[in-house]
This record gives sequence, structure tokens and C-alpha cells, in this order.
Amino acid sequence: MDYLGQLLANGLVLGAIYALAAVAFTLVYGVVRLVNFAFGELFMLGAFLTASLMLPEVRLLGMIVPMPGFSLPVAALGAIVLTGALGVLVDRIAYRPLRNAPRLAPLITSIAVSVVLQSLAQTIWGAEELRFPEFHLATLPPVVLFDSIYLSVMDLVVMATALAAMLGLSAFIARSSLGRAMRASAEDQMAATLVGIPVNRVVAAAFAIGSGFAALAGLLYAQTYGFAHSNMGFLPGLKALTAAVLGGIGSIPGAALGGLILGLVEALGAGYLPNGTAWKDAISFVLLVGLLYLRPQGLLGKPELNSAGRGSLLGGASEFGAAWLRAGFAKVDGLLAKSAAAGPRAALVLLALAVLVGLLVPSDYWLRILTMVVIYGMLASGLNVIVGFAGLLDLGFVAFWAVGSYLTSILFVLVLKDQFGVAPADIWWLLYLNLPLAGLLAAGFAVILGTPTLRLRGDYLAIMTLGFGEIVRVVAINWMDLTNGPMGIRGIPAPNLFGIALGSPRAQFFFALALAVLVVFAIARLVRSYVGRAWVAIREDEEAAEAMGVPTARYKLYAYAASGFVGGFVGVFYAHSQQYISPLNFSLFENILLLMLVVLGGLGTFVGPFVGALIWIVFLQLALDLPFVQAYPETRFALLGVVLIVLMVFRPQGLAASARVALTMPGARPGALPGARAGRAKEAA
Amino acid sequence: MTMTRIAAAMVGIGLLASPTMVRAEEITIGFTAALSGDFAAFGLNMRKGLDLAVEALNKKGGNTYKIDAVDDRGEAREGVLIAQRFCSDKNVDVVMGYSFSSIALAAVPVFNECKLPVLASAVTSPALSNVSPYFRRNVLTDAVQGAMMGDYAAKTLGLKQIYVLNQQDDYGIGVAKAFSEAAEKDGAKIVGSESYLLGSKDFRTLLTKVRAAKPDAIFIGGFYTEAAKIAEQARALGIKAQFLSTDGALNVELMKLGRSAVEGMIVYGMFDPAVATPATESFLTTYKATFKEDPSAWAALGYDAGMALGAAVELAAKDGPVTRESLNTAFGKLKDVPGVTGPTTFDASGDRAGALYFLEVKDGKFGLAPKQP
Amino acid sequence: MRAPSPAPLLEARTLTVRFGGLEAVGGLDMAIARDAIHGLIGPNGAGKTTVLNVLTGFIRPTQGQLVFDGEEIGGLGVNRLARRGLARTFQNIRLFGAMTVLESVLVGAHQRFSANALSLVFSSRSAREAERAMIARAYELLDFVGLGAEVADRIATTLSYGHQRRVEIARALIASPKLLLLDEPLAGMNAVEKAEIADLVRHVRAQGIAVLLIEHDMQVVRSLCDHLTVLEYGRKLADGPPEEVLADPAVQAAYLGRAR
Repeated sequence: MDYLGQLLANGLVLGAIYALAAVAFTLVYGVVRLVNFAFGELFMLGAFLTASLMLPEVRLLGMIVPMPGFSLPVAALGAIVLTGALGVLVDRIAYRPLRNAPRLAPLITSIAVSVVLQSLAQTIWGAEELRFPEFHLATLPPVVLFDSIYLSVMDLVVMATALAAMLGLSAFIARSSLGRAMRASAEDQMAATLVGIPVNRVVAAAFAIGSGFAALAGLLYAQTYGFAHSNMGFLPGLKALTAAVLGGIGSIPGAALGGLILGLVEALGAGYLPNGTAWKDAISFVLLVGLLYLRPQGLLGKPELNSAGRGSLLGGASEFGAAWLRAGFAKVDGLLAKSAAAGPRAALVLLALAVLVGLLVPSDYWLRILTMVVIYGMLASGLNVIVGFAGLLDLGFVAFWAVGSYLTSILFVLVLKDQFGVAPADIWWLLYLNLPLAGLLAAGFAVILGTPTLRLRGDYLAIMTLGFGEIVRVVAINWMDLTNGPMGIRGIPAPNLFGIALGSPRAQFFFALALAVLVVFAIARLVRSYVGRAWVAIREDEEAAEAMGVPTARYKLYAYAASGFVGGFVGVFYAHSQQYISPLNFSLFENILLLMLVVLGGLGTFVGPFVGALIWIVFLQLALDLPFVQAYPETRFALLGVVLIVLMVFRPQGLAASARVALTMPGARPGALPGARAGRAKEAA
Repeated sequence: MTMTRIAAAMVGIGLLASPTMVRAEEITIGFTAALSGDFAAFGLNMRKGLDLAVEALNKKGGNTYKIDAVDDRGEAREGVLIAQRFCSDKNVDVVMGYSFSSIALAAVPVFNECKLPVLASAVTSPALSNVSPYFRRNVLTDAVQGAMMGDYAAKTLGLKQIYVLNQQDDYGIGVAKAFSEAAEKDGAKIVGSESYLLGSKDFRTLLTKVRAAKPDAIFIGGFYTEAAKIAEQARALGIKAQFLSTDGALNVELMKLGRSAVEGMIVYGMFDPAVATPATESFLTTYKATFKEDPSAWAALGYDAGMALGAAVELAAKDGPVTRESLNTAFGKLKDVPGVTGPTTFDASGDRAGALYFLEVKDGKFGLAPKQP
Repeated sequence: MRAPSPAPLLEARTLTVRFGGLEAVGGLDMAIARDAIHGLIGPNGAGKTTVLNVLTGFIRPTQGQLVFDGEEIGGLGVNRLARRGLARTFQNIRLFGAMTVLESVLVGAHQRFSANALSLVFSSRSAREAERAMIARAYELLDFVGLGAEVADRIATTLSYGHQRRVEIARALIASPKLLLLDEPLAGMNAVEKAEIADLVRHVRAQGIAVLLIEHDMQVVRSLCDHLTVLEYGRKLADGPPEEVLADPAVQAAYLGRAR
């Protein structure tokens, strides 16, 4: 009994913090329909700012800076105000210009903001943890209930503060005129503007309050667990999202309820399941996924929130941008359109260029980099099928990639080598068999994962796929017998063909190139047919597509299957190329990175993914030569974030967007261009 | 870069012409570790120790040493790329560093192919023993260290009921296993074991389980970040057991993060700043003066690795210009290179022998534990 | 007078649609003859679009029967109905953004394609043939609706409103439906365009395709339709040839708001 009692107490404390975070999250979502991925970073900044204000001095950017040394309540207030202001600033710079943009743009931007803030925090406060200063109440002895349930005094303070804050916010929303204005803007922004509500200011107020609350949750969390750290916001951010969805996104009491339930479920799950602590995070994601499937609107939410806009996730040109910028893009567009028109010939030229590069580049190092470009380009192409062409925002794509890599690694190393003692050199041909096999397995997996998402739209779809991706990752980490857990699988043999070793960087580059040709070829054939037309039709207007006889549910699953196949297929090569894989290779960050690459290059084109991959990976390597980057390596990611924000505001359709793909089979037009493969453009490094 | 090479060459030629025939070599150390992210502390500290060693070696004159540092961000993929980069760079003579065994393991095949010697200072996984004729480390393996702690706990401290917690990776699993086996062999009972993910913050529920098992000691196979939190949250739950941990907890940050909760925690390490011997005295003073803090074991190991490199270079230089191959051979021939973690000799499997200190947290500082084995 | 007609193409029997407590359509009996141009008219809010949505599967009927070409279709899904030969256009033109005119029209023929993934990837002869044939047919239809081949490669949504409407009709026709349902096809057009579209509808009927048409322009309705069904508040007010129905005082009252 005291075991259960302590678990419940733990769950309540955690639940109070989650509830507060979820409320902050849902407040912003309700008003702006934005899943703010940067939420976790505001949470984190609240902790850092409070800690910094409480210390007599703190190390910023490597220098010791004297600090006021306030007491906790004063420092907390300062941190809340500062973070609230930051939230308003972020909205003004990054979100406001995208208020009327297609759905994916603000999402990408919020992810980018998250990356920027995290990198900046790491640069300013350092990579190490910062001890949260002691507050005098924390030195009091713990409160003991029923002789066995321990709660510290600060736990009680945290719970009381969270409760007070939530009640205060509810009263504010219900009674004050600003609160009414927020509710009106949440219902219908257009109507609210028409009745004279200054929506932009209301939104700014929502961000200020939401960010302030996020900071409060963050500092309470830091106080409870004793520290601040630049990546402390990531998981709590996802938990806040889960709790908000659980309660019904947009509903404040729902979020509070959701947070509480989540805290209790985590504590009880961790306490009663075998090795529960390691599986704890999976519990929240399973809850999330199950909930979205059974009741997407959550406990207290409204069903109509499960709807998406129509059309490409990132289409159309931006309204912003100086004349010279537009002129520049217009030139690029002209060039791309011309090369797209030249079609297959341009593709062959570029392929020849790539081959030439592969033959002439002397440095093994650069060959490995270019191989990475090709791998990431292929993966991004696979993601492009479902996100770009079919318009389904899949944030769990990385799971298919993982399935492919793990299938081949488990077979080669864990089963055949370790169990049966078969030397990799004897079964070299298995790699070639694994390529389509893993593709099929991953495709099947994708269909299974995709099926429950069919009735979801937009943000909900993204969240559910994100949940699936995370579950797969946690399983990979914890199912040690199958995957060797966090230690990963080593000694995966390099590719081999009839005894000729293909392990050298140059050989691997050409192998990758050959696979890329196959992948792009297959994707192009599928897209340039009635299947591709069906996908784009579903993306543009699902109902109209249905009315034309397209069985949309089935075709969505086909899109999952196709992208899954590519993920699994490439995953096999990835494993044999890296010769070592671990669950860390398949994190949410990788998925986000792939998404960013596709966005960078241009959704729904063949060129886009490779353009994005090339730019990113080459930049990553070149930046290493800058001494500033060597001192602060995480700034590379901050830069990626900034580039993406700029892109979303000035060029949301991506760089290569005008390399538009024709959706008809080549050679089927009367008097058409000579039939050949569809184009794939790749620039030489 | 090119100018320095030309200048060095000219100096070299000039010196060649002189009767003393001393060849001044420029030794470039490719240093790689996790220098950003959660566990940058290990890499950054190794670097600090290595910097001091390089400074000392450069001051000694003769050869010049420089460090080319690359962050692997704790990612195996980066590790492989960085290994290739060092291999391709003809100037790099030796690779040092490595915070994570999994990354070192991923990179070793690359170094094997290009025959570049590696001297690592923080990777303790037993899987790295005998992994390549080019790989050595001056830190003891988990198998050895964990077992030593297990013996210490059961025999020296006489603990009977121990709950084992470990982080879920190579390091934690390896050290916990070695500890448990040794402790059980010496008569202690492992009343439970659970793993946690690196980076976890909330241990309350885990510790609630631990509390129910009523252990007299808790072994934490992991890094200082988690060890501090576990200690604090355990005390807040009313757990009074003795805390034991590893070299991963041997870091001054442990006390900053854990405060009064970590008092009495016993860890092990190859270096203790409190133990000032003539050998360590100058290192301590210089380190404190340069970095304004006490050196950690990682800094000490980094420093010793630098010293070992210096000795190897001198040995190799006797037979001609220093190459990767000659340096590798020289490493194998080193005997008892003096250092702050004790004398260094590499055995055939690339490991070294050494002694462990058992250190206790007392009044917010590490000191020698009253009972030593 | 026409000869006694064969069995109706589409029959609705006591069709009722309720949303919660609100009855949008109540007990509607309606029969659409083969190759007729059947008008569905009534004041705003009468339930006309609801009927169309039920017929095309966007809404499920609460009660009643729907028989199309001799088969029960009540409750079937949208794409199933499309494949049975019911094609429609929308009140707000819903062409596919980012697709060219040709591609948009081709989507309408989706049910006629059957190549599997492997045949597509390996570009089998039959897959190419099917595509070629359907593209040729698409061009024929563009011609039929009065658009030239030169619009084929323009992004559909960049065309003028009138042209977009024609593309939508071409898209609906390409799979050779049996019944074409048009939801206010003349909205937003001037007199000349209306006449052109009306002519087009006649041509469609001449091809043997029945048409159900929701419209507000009484002049066009009078001259174009063979048969009218009038709805008011979800109930059938009148049913019959246009001269009869439009002279009915009850119908006039419904539109004008008072008896004449």
C-alpha cells in the first residue's frame, strides 16, 4: 500500500507540472492553431533564466558574469516576464508572417525555432547541466504521510503553484475582455477581425501568456529535479503535447486533466511494469497513439478540430521579400523550369556529372560525405512521396528506415554470424536480397502504421505518426534481445559482389549512386502515372478526389507503402555502409532533419530532396573549418534553423520548387518528348 | 598551414645541416570526443589535460605538438566520418580522445585500414580490448574497474544487500555486470537491478521500487549527472543506503549537482586531486592556475596520454622520421611512462594495468575513502 | 408528348435526411429518367445540395431508398458511387490546385486505370497504352467542352472561371458516367456563358448521359430541362415538366414569398 501511495504522490507532482505545461501549450494552439514545437525550449529557458537570476554569478559564453542573486519568487517572476517577451518576439518574427500560409510552414518554423533556441542556450550557458540554486524552503525536511509517503515541501509548493496558475488563467480567460477576445479569435479569426478585435495583439498576448506559463512549468520542473540543461525541454515538450491532445487540444480544463492523467499513468506504469523506468516514455506515446485512434478530439475537445486544410503542405509563393530577392528567385525558377523542360536529357547530364565527380575526387573523406548526401537524398525522396506528393505529414518515417537497417544487421550479425557462425563473406549475396526484402517488410510496416492514421488529418496525423516513430525508437532501445539495445549492432560487413569488396569509399559512392538511380526511377514511374495523379489529387482536395472515383484510403496506404519501401531499401545500404547502427541513428531529430531537407529543396519535385541533402551535408562539413564553429559546434544547427525560418518566410515552396513534375507518363502525349526516365537533378559538389 | 609546413621544413633542413642532427618534428594530434551535447564534460576535460601536456612538451623543445580537435557530438556516424577525415589528412600522426566506447568501436575499422594509431583516454568498454593493433587506451576497462568496486563493496565495506542501477548502454551494462559478479562472488546479495536511460531526470518511481527492497547500498553504474539526481531523489524518499558509483561519477560537478545528498558516496578513479604526490604536484598547480579549477580524472588521463605520446615520439624519433607506423610500434614498446595516474605500459591487447583509488565525498570534496582495499 | 418512358435511371423513394434534430430533406420521391435533363430547383436552403450530396455519397440518408440503374445504392461510399457511373461537379469549382488541366481531367478517369505497381515501374506496354488512350480521350473531351488543346498544360486554377467550369465538366465526363450531377454550374456567369454551358449540357445529353442540374436561373431552367423537381424546406413541392411546374402558384409563392 505504501508503494502505491508513494507512486501516486510521485504521479501527482509530475502531473501538476505536465498539467501546467499542457495548459500553456493548448492556450497557444487554441488561438493560433499552431503546434508550437519550440514550446519545450521556452520551458527550458524559464529554468535557465530563473537559475541565472538566483545565482550570484553565472558563466555565460565562457565568461563569468555577476548576477543579482534574487530569491526564487523574484527570479521566477523575472524569468516568466522575460520568456513571455521572448515568446512575443518569436511570434512576431517567425510565426506572424506565416499566419495565412499553408499548414506545414508554421510547423517547420516552430521546429526551426526550437533548434535555434536550443543551440543558443547551449552556446550561452554551456553544454553542461546547471545546478538549480537551493531555495530555503527546499532545505526543510520532507513531509511524511502515513509513515511511508515522502513529499518534499517544495513538491507541495510546486503543486500549489501549478494549481493556482491554472485557476487564475481559467478565470482570466472566462472573465476578462482579453480572455474573451482570445476565445473569439480561437473560434474564428476572420470574424473576430471583422468585429474589431485586434487579432494580432490578441495573438501576441496569447503567446506572452503561453510562453510565460511554459517558463513557469520549466522552472518548477527544474526546481523539482534540481537542474537546468539545454535539452531538458525536449521530452517535456512532447509530454505537454501528449497531455494537451489527451485532454482535447484547445481546451484548458482538458489540458489540465490530461496532464494529471499523464503524470499518474507514467508513475504507475513505471512502478508496476518490469523494467518500467526504461519503458516509461513509451507509455506516454502509446497512450497518445491509442487516444488519437479512438478519440482524436481527446477527453474534452471538439471533433471539428480534426480537419486539415486542402492543398500542398507548402505551396505558393511568399508575400514577403525585397525586390532583389524575388528577382533572384525568379531567375533560379526560370533556369529550373528550362531544365525541367529539357527533361531526361538534363537528368542524364547531371548523372554523368555525378559519375565524373565520383571518379575524380581524390579525397576519401569527401567521397564519404558525398555518399551521405546520396543516402540522405534517397531517404528524403522516400519521405517526399508521402509528404510532398500525397500531402500526409509523416513524422514517423524514420521507423521504416530503421526497419530496413535492423533487418539486415540482425540477419547478418546477430543471427547468422553470432548464432550460426556464418562468415559474412560467404553470404555476401544476402545484402542484395535484403534490399527488396527490407523494402517489402518496411512497406508492410508502413501500412500497419498508416491504417490507424487514415481518419486523422493535418496536425493530428503528424502527431500520431510522431508517436509511432517514438514508440519504435523506444522499443529498439529497450528490446535488447532483438536489437542489442543502445549498444547497437557492430561489425555489419561492407558490401561485396562475387568476392570483390565494395567497401572503399569510392566503391560505396558508386553503389549509392546506382541505388539512387533505381529509387528515383521507380518513384518517378509511380508518380508519373495515374497513381501519382491520385496522390496529388488526394493532397489537393480529398473529397473531390473521392468524387472522381479515387479510393482515397487505399491510396493513402499506397503512399505509406511506397515511402516505407524506400526507407527500408535505403536502410539496408545505410547499415552496410556505416557498418554500425544504434537506435540513436533513428531519432526524431533525424526525421525532422529529413523533413527539413525535403522542404529546403522543394516538396513534390524529384530534384528537391537531393538539393536539400547536398546543401545541408556539405554545409555541415564546411562549417567545421570555422574556428567559431569548432568552439561552439552546436551553432551549425542554429544556423540551419535560421535558414529554414528565412526560407519559410520568403520562399516556403522550397528552393527547387519550380522543377515541377509532370504527372503524365512520358511518351504518352500525342507528339510528345522522346520517352525516357523522368528527370533527377543533382549538382556536383 | 602550408606556411608553417614550409617554415618547419626549412628549420628541419637547417638543423639537418648542423652537426647535432636533431630532427624537429611537428606532431599533429587528431583529437576527437563529444565536445558538445549532454556529456561534453568528459571530452572537454580530456582536452584540457591534453592541452597542458602539449604545452609542457612544446616547452621542452625539440618537437612541436599541435592539436586538431573535432567534435563527434556523441554520434557514431560522425565518429566514422571524423576517423576518415583524420586518415585522409597526412599530417595527422595520432588520434586521441574518445568519450564513448560505441563511437570508438565504430571508428576502429577505419583506423585499422589506414593504420593510424589511436590512444584513447575515456572509453572503458571491454569490447575495445584487443580490437586492433592500432588501438590503445590508458584508462582501465569496465570489466576491471567494476570488479574492483564489487570486491571493495563486499569485502572491504562488508555490504550485504546491494541494489544495482545502471544506465542502459555499453558502459552501464558492462560495469554493472562486472560489479554484480564480483560482489556476489564475495558474498553480497544483489537484491534487485534496474536500468535507466541516459539523460533521465526523474528517478522517483525507480527509487520507490528500490526503497521497497530495503538495500543497505545502491550501486549506480553511470555518469555523475544521473548519480547526483539518484542520490538526491533517494534521500528525499527517505532512503538511507550507502551510495556507490563509478569513475563516471568522479567529477566535481557531482557535488554541485547533488549537494548534501552525495555526501558519503564512494566512487573510484585513477586520479584524485586531493592526493598530492610529488609526481602530481606540478600538474595540479599548473592546471589550477590555467583553468581555475581542480583537474578531474579525465583531465589527468588526457594529460598522461599526452605524456605517453611524448615518450613514444621520442622513442620513434631515434630510428628516423616519425611516421604513423613507427609511432604505433613505439607505443607498444613503452614501459612505465611516468604520469599522474601512475606509470603507463600498454599490454598486447592495447590496455594498461593500473591501480584504482576509492574516493569518498566528504564536505563537498573528493577525498580518499577511509577504508582502502 | 413523349413515348411512355422505360424504367427511371435514378429513383429516390421517401428519401429523408436528418442532422440531429433538423430535417434537411423529408420524404422525397423523385425519379430521373434516362437521358433526361432533370432540374432540381427551389429557394435557398431548400435542401437541393443536400440531395445532391446524398446521391453522390457525401451524406448518408437517414431513411428511404435510392435505386440507381436497378441497384440499391443508399449508404454506398463516394468513390464507389463514382465508379457506378455517378459523376458530379461542385458548387464552388473544385479543380485540383497544382495540377494542369490535362492532369485534372485525367483524375476523373481514375477508375479506368488498372496497371499495378510493377507494371508501372517497368513501364509495361499495357500501362503505356492505357495512358495514351486516356490522354487521347481527355483531349477529345477538352474539345467537346469547347476548350482547345492549348489549355492542356496550363495549371487548371489559372484559367478563367468559365473555362474552369468546363474543365470540371470534362473531368466528370471522362469516365463515361451514366448520370452527371451539376451543382449550380451557371453561377457567376454572364448570359453568353450561360447559353454556352446550357448548350454543352444538351450535347452531354445527346451522348446518352442523363443530367441532374441544380440551378437558380429560371429562364435557362425553363428552356433546358425536360423535367423539374421543386423543393421547399426539404420537401417536394412540385414535380413535372417545366411549363406546368413554373406556373404552379405554390411554386411561385415559394420563390416570391406571397401568393399571386
